[in-house]
Amino acid sequence: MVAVPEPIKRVFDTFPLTTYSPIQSTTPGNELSIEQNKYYFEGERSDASFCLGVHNVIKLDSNDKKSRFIPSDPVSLGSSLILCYKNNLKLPTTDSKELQHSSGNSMLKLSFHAAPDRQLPIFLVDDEKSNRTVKTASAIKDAFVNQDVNKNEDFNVEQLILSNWIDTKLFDLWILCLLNEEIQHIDKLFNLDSELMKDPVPSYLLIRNLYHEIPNWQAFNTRNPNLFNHDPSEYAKNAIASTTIATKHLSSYYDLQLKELENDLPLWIEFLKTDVLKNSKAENILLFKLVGFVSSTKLQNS
Amino acid sequence: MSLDHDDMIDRLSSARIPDNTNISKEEKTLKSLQEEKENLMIEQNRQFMEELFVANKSQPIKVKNVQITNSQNFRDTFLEAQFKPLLASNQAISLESFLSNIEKVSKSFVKLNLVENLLVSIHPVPGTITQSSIFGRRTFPDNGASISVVPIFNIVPVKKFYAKTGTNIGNGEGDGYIQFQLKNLFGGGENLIFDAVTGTKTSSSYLLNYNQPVGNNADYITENTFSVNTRKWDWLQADVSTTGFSNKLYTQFDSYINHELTMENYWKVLENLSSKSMDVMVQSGSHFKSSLIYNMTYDSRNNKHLPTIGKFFRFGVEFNGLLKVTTSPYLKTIFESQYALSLPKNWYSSLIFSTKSGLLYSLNKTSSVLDRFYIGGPNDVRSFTLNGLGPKDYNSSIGGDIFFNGGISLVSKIPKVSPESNFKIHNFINFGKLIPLDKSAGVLNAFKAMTTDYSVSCGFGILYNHPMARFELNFVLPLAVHERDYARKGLQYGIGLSFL
Repeated sequence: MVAVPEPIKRVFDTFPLTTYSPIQSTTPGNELSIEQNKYYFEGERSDASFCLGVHNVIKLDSNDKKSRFIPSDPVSLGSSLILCYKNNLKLPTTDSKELQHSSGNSMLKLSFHAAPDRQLPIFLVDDEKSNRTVKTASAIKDAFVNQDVNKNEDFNVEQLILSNWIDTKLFDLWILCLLNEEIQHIDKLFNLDSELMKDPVPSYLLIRNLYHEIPNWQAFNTRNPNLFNHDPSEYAKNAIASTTIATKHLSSYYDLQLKELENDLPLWIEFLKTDVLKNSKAENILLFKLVGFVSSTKLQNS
Repeated sequence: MSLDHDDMIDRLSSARIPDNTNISKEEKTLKSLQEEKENLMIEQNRQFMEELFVANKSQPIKVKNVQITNSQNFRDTFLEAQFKPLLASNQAISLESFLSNIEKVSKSFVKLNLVENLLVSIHPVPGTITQSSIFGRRTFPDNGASISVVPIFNIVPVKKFYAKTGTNIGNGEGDGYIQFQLKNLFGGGENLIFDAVTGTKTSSSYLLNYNQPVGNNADYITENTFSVNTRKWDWLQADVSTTGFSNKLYTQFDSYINHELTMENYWKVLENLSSKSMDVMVQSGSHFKSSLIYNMTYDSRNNKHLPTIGKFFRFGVEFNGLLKVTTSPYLKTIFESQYALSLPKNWYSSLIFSTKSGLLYSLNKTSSVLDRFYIGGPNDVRSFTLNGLGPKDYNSSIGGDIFFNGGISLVSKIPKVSPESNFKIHNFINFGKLIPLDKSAGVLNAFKAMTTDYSVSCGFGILYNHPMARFELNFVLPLAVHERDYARKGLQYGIGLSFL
């Protein structure tokens, strides 16, 4: 590489002659509009903080007069529970925004368009020096399981198989469920603007946009290309009409997967009864993953 | 900005100076004498015609009827409306008014892009002319009353169907496009255009545009556009997909002042690619826009890309929130001005002063990154990267709500090159500032903040003023910057229709 002659470099380095402080990047109004989408985990504060981007949150009333907020979809719910477990945090409550309860770590309602891979949850970590790291859904999945396998050897082979079963089989069933079932509150599940959903044109566009993306999550359509040979707008039309939206192939595949689940589930229950899990960290992580799917599906049905 | 690459090469080729190296000195002298003689004859002819018109400007003229060739291309009602200035009255009019009406009719056809060529010949009705002179027939009536004439519009209409394909070049960008045009669709200046573009900056773009004159009047055009496109907003590290309609009504008066009223209804989707900015992430997703925009322009410049004389002002105001579905309602105003001034003739130079300013007042807590202003770049405040000025969040330029920028350019001829050459030397100073609007502190406070600390740059280079666009290659240096401004030192290349 040719070196820049020193006199020229000196001249170039002279400019700019004046440097002002940076232009402020935000305003109180802007911060408020971000804050109103945040739900803080309760726990101890630290210099570093994280933010879990989820589709939406559901408010759960409890006996202690405090309402808790949990993510509306199973994957995000599982992730939030694991994060709470790993960082010794409690789920966000109605009191969480008060400074004494807030850990500085939060859940943030986002559109799936916010994630580089169009898939939530997304994990934003700000370190002590305010450097931000963005982890996508697949990176979060890896961080929860694989890191532990490599570093802590916390997960054994059986546990990894169970983890993989949850991540693929149950996740695929979740996608199939979205594409096959009549989802009554799709706007609440994916935080679609309720005002916009009252108008037929925006609601059609929003739902079409969502159903266009759902089959791409965790490369479901790449793994099952034969199931997707039609226009995604069909889903949107059917979803608006609250009818079953699946095509023949898709609904047959859904039935098949449900039957497989019926067969697999007793085996896994048998497995869970054994002491393979040994009450370890891995056990808890796997349980939280499972709880995410079970609780979330239960909530959607209720 | 769009440039047909092949067409550009042709134009550049035709502009080449003929090769005179093999011609002897005597032949060169003869050639220049011939050119001088031709110019002299043209000038004499022009002077004679001018004198003739001036001497007879009050001569009464009566239009018997108007004829047009290739009239089968137009509707009767449309032609009737175009010829109205000539056929409005049965009374005699002065020669001056007659010629002005001829020009008015001709301009209507040209403004609507209906003709490839237009030539008007005026035929006197036999019996109304008696005298003649050595210069040809003179128009003097035999009884001292008006002369009856029949103007004939010989036109070559534009092709009804037109398709073209080509490439666009820009600042380090490239696009391929295909365009279909159906011109003068129903014989009244109606056009239907379909455009498809794909490239580096625009992933995909489809546009269907229908335009026509309002009430057969070439001064009022209505334009309806449906478009679907996905564009890269590199400064946000995001993609923006836009789908929707734009309905526009605009004037094309011969006077300097023109107006434009636009209604836009768009669905936009902001897709984050790699931005870590909280603004970008939280605002990612669907946005619905329904706005009304009014623009008024005053343009007396002799050239839109590189004026040497004249003034330009544009005032625009936009209200977003016509329909209930609008996600980020706001009020926006823009003011733009340019003043070009020729320096003494033997300096072969001109000065151009330009300013732009804008205010975005969100009717929500905050404005959307899709609606904010972005400044900086080779066509804007030079010596900064595209949209490299203003607020930043984790390396994304997230835009601002108030801006003011401007510049002074000195454009001069290159030594030992003809003053008519389209290549010029360019010296400039640019400045600009873009800030967010803190509504809690008030608009006045924001204006106060706009009075100091401007990012400033200077430079010099050469520019080429092509009929379709302006090209610039400058050596640029930032003089004053804000931390986090994306400044650029050294060479910077710009191409476009509008420059600071």
